[in-house]
Amino acid sequence: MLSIQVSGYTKQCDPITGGVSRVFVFDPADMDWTQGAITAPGLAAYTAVGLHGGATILGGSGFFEIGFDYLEGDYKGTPSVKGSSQKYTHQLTLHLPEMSQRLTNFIFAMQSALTCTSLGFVIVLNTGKIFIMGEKIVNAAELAAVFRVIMGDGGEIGSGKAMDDPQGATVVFKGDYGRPLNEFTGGIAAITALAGTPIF
Amino acid sequence: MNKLFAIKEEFKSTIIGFNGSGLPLGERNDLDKLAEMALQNPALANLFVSAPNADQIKAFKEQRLLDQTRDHAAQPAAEPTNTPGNESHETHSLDEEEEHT
Repeated sequence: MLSIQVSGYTKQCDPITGGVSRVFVFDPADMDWTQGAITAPGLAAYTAVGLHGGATILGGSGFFEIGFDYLEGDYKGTPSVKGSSQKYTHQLTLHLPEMSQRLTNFIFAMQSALTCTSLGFVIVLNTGKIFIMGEKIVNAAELAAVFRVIMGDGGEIGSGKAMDDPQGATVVFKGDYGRPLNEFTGGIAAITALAGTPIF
Repeated sequence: MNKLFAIKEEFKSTIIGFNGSGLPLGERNDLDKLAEMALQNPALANLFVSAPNADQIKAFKEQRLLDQTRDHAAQPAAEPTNTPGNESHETHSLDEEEEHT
């Protein structure tokens, strides 16, 4: 208390399940996340989401689900400290099934977007908790520090050898930021209600 | 929903995802929660005919709690059940009493 406010970590007495359940991609410029008032030390979770400015579902905005192979989604947030500076490298790895023109178009579109701007991701864990990566607009204003997510190395497109080998692409989305991901507590229905119209 | 949380006509079909739902605003019955969040997000405040302030929201919640408490107290008390040790509470119909005499 004399120099900083410390706190313990309360363990919830509920079973916990690992793994990523669902992932949605979105244009960070389209979504306005509402962050609640701070009632405890630290940031508040996001509690609401809506389309920002002139974004419309008919115009191509919204949340787009990425269909990855079952149990082949993984998120990691790796802290790095140098002197007084720190960062978290956020990495989302997904295995997408079936080499096809659809897959080629999806990867190319993701690469193109990441070259010019950035992408946002909604990560739904098997616990039901939802985290947001790459957001840009909070409480109707742009974040001062840009949370840029790019397609990182470590991905691979492959056919496999044996008939039961995985075939498709491992894609990696990566971005550095100054904190762990914020949770969204508005519920999955709040995300799916703003589903975009898929084009791949 | 209380007139305090009236949504502008042009936004009644707008979807804001919160509190586990993505229904259009004109169909929501939890706009008090949206109003609370609007205190932090001016874009949400713009959805209301007149966005309520923190005191108005607090007064609404207090009154709602009072109404719920009054409604609960006004409900009839539950009938006692025939459990062992409560034989004195057992009632018999007139037909049963005639059989025993």
